[in-house]
Parts: sequence; C-alpha cells; structure tokens
Amino acid sequence: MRTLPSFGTCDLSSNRREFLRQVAGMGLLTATKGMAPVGAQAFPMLPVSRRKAIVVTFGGGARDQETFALEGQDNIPHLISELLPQATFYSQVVNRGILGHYVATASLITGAYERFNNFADVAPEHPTIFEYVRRQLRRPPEDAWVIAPSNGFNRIGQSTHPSFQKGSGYGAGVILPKRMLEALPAPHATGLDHLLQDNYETAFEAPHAQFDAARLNAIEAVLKLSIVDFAAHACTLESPDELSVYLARRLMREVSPSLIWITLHDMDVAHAGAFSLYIDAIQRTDRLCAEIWKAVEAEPEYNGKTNLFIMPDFGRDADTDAGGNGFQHHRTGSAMARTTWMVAMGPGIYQGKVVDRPIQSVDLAPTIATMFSCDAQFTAGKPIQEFTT
Amino acid sequence: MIAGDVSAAGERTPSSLRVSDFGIYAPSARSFAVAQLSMLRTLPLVLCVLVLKQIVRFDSLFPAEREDLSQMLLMLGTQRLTSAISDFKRIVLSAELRHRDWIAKPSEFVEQMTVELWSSGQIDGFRHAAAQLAPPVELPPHGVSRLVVVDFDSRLEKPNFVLFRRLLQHGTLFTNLTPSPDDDPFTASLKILEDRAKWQPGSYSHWLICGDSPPRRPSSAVSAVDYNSVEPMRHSLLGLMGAAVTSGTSGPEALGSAMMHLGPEALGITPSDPLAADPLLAQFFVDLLAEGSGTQIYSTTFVQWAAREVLRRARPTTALIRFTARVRQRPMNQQWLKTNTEPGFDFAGSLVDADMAAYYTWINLMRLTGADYAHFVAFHSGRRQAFASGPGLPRGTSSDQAISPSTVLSLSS
Repeated sequence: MRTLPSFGTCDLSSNRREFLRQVAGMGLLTATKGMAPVGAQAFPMLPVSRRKAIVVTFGGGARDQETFALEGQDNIPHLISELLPQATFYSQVVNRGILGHYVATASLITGAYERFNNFADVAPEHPTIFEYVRRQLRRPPEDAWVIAPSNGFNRIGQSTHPSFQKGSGYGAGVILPKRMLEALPAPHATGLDHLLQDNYETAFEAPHAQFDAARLNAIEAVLKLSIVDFAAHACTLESPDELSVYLARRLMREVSPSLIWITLHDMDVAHAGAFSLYIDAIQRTDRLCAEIWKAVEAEPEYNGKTNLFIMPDFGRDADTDAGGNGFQHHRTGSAMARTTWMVAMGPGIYQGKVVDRPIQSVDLAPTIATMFSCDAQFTAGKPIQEFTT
Repeated sequence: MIAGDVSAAGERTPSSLRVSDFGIYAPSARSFAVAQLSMLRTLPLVLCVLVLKQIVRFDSLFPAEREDLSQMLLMLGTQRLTSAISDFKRIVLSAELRHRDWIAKPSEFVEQMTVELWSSGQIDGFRHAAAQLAPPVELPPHGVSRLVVVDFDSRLEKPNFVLFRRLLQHGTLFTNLTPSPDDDPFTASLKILEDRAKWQPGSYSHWLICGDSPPRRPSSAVSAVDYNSVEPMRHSLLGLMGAAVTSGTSGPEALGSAMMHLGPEALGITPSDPLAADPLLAQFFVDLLAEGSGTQIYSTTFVQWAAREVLRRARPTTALIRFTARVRQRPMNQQWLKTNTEPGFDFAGSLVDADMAAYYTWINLMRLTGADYAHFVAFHSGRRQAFASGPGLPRGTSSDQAISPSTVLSLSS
C-alpha cells in the first residue's frame, strides 16, 4: 500500500489564489491608494472617445473547481497562461441576485439586481450600461452591441426605465446568432443544425424571438456580410459560441463599437447532466476568450484602447449541496453557485495581480460607466476601485 | 404582503383546514392527511404546503419516505423544530400566491413559491429553514451496513484520463484487478446483491440500475430499472416535450409543471404492461424521466439520477449501478424531431460522465444514515482498477497486488 495525494474539494478562492501566485507569478493586490496601475499614465491620456470595453460572460455558469481552482486549471490553459499574466484576477465575485441566465446577465448589464421572471419576455427594469454611455456621450446606435445565445436575451439591450423613456433607443443592438441562422433561406441553412438548436434548458424558453428576413438583412448590412458568406462560414464552426465570437469579430472590424457584450453559453449543456460535455464547453470557451483578445490586439481600433472583462454570470451548485445535483444546475443559491471570478485586462488595469477583496457582479456596470466618464446613477453596485482610482 | 399564516379575506390558512378539504386526495393520502389534521392546522403556511406536497403523493412514496414524513410530523408535534417553524413563519408571500389553491395543488404552489422566494430575495432564508427538517439519525434496518457497487462498462475509455481521482482520498485504489469469465465485477456484484436481498428482505431495499439491458436479470427480490426498458416511455416523453415546445404556446414553467404531474398512462404504459405491475415503481420511472434533466437523452445521466433518487428516496440497503456508453451529443430539438441520424456512442465522454457520477453516488451514499458503516465499491474491469471505501479500508492509499472482484467485494461486506 502507498499513500496517494489527495484531491480535495474547492475552498472557493483560497486554492486558486495560492496556485496562481505560484504558477502564474501573480501578486496579491492588497492596497490601492498610492499604487499606480500598469498603464496608469497612459489611461488618463486616452480620450474617452477612443476607449473600448468588451465584456465576455463565461457562461452559462461555471464553478471554481472546473476553472480557476487547482483541479480545474487544466480546463483553461489559455486563461491561465496567456491572459492572466496581463490581467487582474478578482477571486471573489458574488452574485446576490436570481441565478437564471437571462435575469443574471441583465443584472450585470444594468448593475442592479433585476427581479423579473427569468423566462419572461421582458426588458430590464433598470437602465443598461449601453443607455448610460450612449445618451451621456451622444453615441450612435451602432456603438453598443450585445451578442447573445438564445431567445430569452432578445430584449436585453434596452431597459424600460422611465428616465430613459421606453423606446427612446439608447440601448444596444442585440444579435441573436441562432435566430439569424433560422432566418436564412432554406438552401443556406442546410447542415447548420448543430449551431441552430438550443440546448436542454434554453429550448423551453418562450416566446420565440421574432427574427424575420428584414432584421436579418439589417444586421447583414451592418456587418457587411452576405447571406452566402455567413452561411458558408457558419458551416465551418462547431458550436453556437463559436458563431457568436465570429460575429463579434465581424462587428469589431466593420463597426468598431465602443461597447460589445458577448454572452457565451455553450457550457450550460451541463443541464443535460453529462459532465464531459460541460468540460468540453469550458475548454472551448477558454479558447474563444483568447481568440477575442487576439482580435483586440489585431484590430487597430481596439489595440491598446480596450478593456476586456471575462466573468461567469454565476457558478453552479456544489457537489456537496444536498438540494442540488452538483455541476448540473444552479438552483440552490448556495455560496458555490453565487461566488465566481473575474479577469480584467487592458489599459489602466494592473497586470499579474490577484484581488481577494469580495466584489459584487453588479459592480461591473458602474465600473465601465466610470471608465467612460459616465454617471450610472441607478446602479446598485460600486465602481471597482483598483482600476478607477 | 403579510407574514406567516395570518388570515386575510378570501384566503385559506392552515388553521382553517377541514377533513373535507382532502376529499380529492387519493384514499391513503386522504387518510394520512386526516390523521394529521390537528398537526397541520398548527403549521405556518409555507411549511404546511411542503408537508401537503408530500402527503398528496403518499401512494407514490417509498416506505422510507413515508417513515420520514411520519417522523417529521412527530418531531413537529414535540416542538423539537421550534426554530425551523419560526424561520418558516418569517417568510412573506404575496397575496396573489396565498390565494392560490394550495390544498388541492401543493406542488404547483411550491413551484410558484420558489419563483417568488428567488425574486423577493428570501430563498436563503427558506433554505436555512428547510435544512432544519432533516430526518433524525438512525441506522439502516436490522443494523445492516449499506453497500453500493458501481460497475463501469469495460469499453468506456479515454486515454490519459485518471479514474476515481475525486474518490481516492476516501478509500483504497486497487490497480491490479484480475477479472475473469468466472469472476467478473458485474456477476460477482449481482450475486452479492441477490444474496443480501435474500438474507435481508425488504421492500425496495435492494436495487439494480443499468445504463442498458443488464447482462443478467436479477431475482424478483431486487428492484430493477434499466435505460433500455424505459425506452418507450422516453420516446413518449420526448414527443410530449417536442409538441409543447414547437407549439410555442407553452413556456418553460407550464411545461415543467405539466411534466411534474405525469402518470404512467400519459407515457403509454397500459395496465397490462409489465412496467405497470408495480404502480409505485411505474410512477418512479416516470418521475426519473419527467423530473430529471437529460435523463431522456443520455444513459449516463439517467443512471446517475436514478442512483441519486433511489438513494435519497428509497434509502436502499444494497445497490448495484452499472454505467454504459451514452449516445453522442445531439441538440435537444433533434431528439423530438426524431431525425434518422444515428449519433453513435461516445465511449470517452461516457467515462468522464461515469467517473463524476460514481463520485456523486458516493456523496449521496454518505448523506444517508449509517454512512460511517457504509461500503462503496467501484470497478472498471477494462482498466483492471477498483476502488473501495468503508470501515476497515485505509484512505488515500493504493495497492498493486493482484486481487479479484470477489475479493474486493469481500473486503466490503
């Protein structure tokens, strides 16, 4: 008999924090006053008019132990070795809201905990970050976009808040790639079933978003992408999230919006209970995050001007939570399901640092607003101090 | 909004419950409810509905669940759960919800209540209150320790994948398993299962759960479920789901609610069908498919969820659980569109699924009473590996000495 090394359960953040310090050479960021972040000199000189922000939700729902905890880091080699050395890592991002993908993403976008039914066809009640930025900076409609996975996100770009007068149009354009595929004329849609279909849970969302030929044509005009080219490229992709990233890159090249919000969702296949498929999706998402950053560096309009934020919308249930079934769902509201992480990078953000101080997921929207010198007055979160001082 | 069970015009409170309220319940459920009426009248609304949710399906409860329900009501009567009752009283529900027919339809009420608890930020308080209702600790019947065996189909394989990684610290890894035609893991485990069923008989106390048809059928003393035998039910259910989704008239909540109340007949099980021979089991099979996510699609998910539910609900003395290959990933819509493309099997993915599922099965075993005395064994004959945990077995160790499946099992019984 010989003794084996143990493979313990995750302690939310301490395991990954220590590991990151050792392997990635990341230091603990404990004080902010008097400390100048990397690029601090450059950031104030970068005019607001040239700043860009891209948010990627590492969704739908990933746990520590399959990502940044010691036992999960094999699943995210790109985040660990390529992005983290250039980033500040927030080890405790707490989501105190409803753990449904649409309502949680809406809460991230508004910076306030939205309380609507996750499956309802409603817009956020609080103003979105897009509305704050576009109205206060007088930006045109094509300056803010959301690329989202499924029906339910159709109305996420524009709130119903009275101060923004419903329908006033300060929201973001919303691209639903799968609905675009559905709207393709029959000959072009052949062989795209693997990208077109929703996964276990999203299949039941209702109602179905209206996405007719006119809307398809409008987006194609913005992206300068013909139906034939779109369909041909889609045929080369493996998953809906790859299609989302392809469209994001197209947006960056053709429109160069200041704000892009990409909601990745492949990993929510976990609801079907197959752990291997959930892990496959995490590995794919890791690769796509690195591709997005490479696209930032490759586009002159974005290189050196862009802050990238990567975070799961929330976690998933803990293995030991009796009310759940481990990774499969996010129904218990336990600490594991509520606590996740964020990778932040770009001008004005420390490189290779870890922040242990808990922040809330709703802090992101007011942080972005501050970066754009905007007042996000209706948010519940606070600007994250490490890169807004 | 009002708290607890304070009455308001037009709504029913637990204190107003009458014998006639249970007239629509099935006979045994009605008898149980009437016998508990004085207790039910004292409960706060939220707790009363949770109890009624169990009572209304009394006929579908396993003996262990009925025992739990009786024990909990007994404890509520002795004031041992004063703290839980206080916590439940603090939960505030909307007037709209309180006016719903929670007596006749407690499950629907709980569904809506869950939505409201999330949106009102009370879900954590509810979880805290509900956690205090755990049944009291007691040993399994006759003082017999539980035994759960997990058997992996030998064809499940993924290069470089480390098997039993999460389990290692809890027991002993055997890296030189010596299966033979006369002593293979499934046959040896099935013999143990049948022997225990013979020596310690009990309703729903001994189970065989398989990802396909089992290599050999167990004796009638063993409750059995396999993925192949429920195939007609799976297809019926997928048809219902597809019809609901493609109609565009049924949202996720309505669909979920409808699936929660399916009976065997809704999935094409006629009274003459062998699956209908035991109504309790037939309903259990329906519940596995209708309430479990992905159980209709992947055999690995079905087996893991079935093992979880058997352990949680039936609290068996013995269980043999066999994982086989699941089909490759297909989008949900292709399931109910009945496309002719045969996806084939994913042996590598199934190994990863089954490894996690084995770990979850161990966790679920450890949640049961008598966990300190429980034995858990897992076999992968293709890899010639086994894992065993339980009293007397060292933790976090491995052995490369040749050992047969029967010998591993003998260490665990």
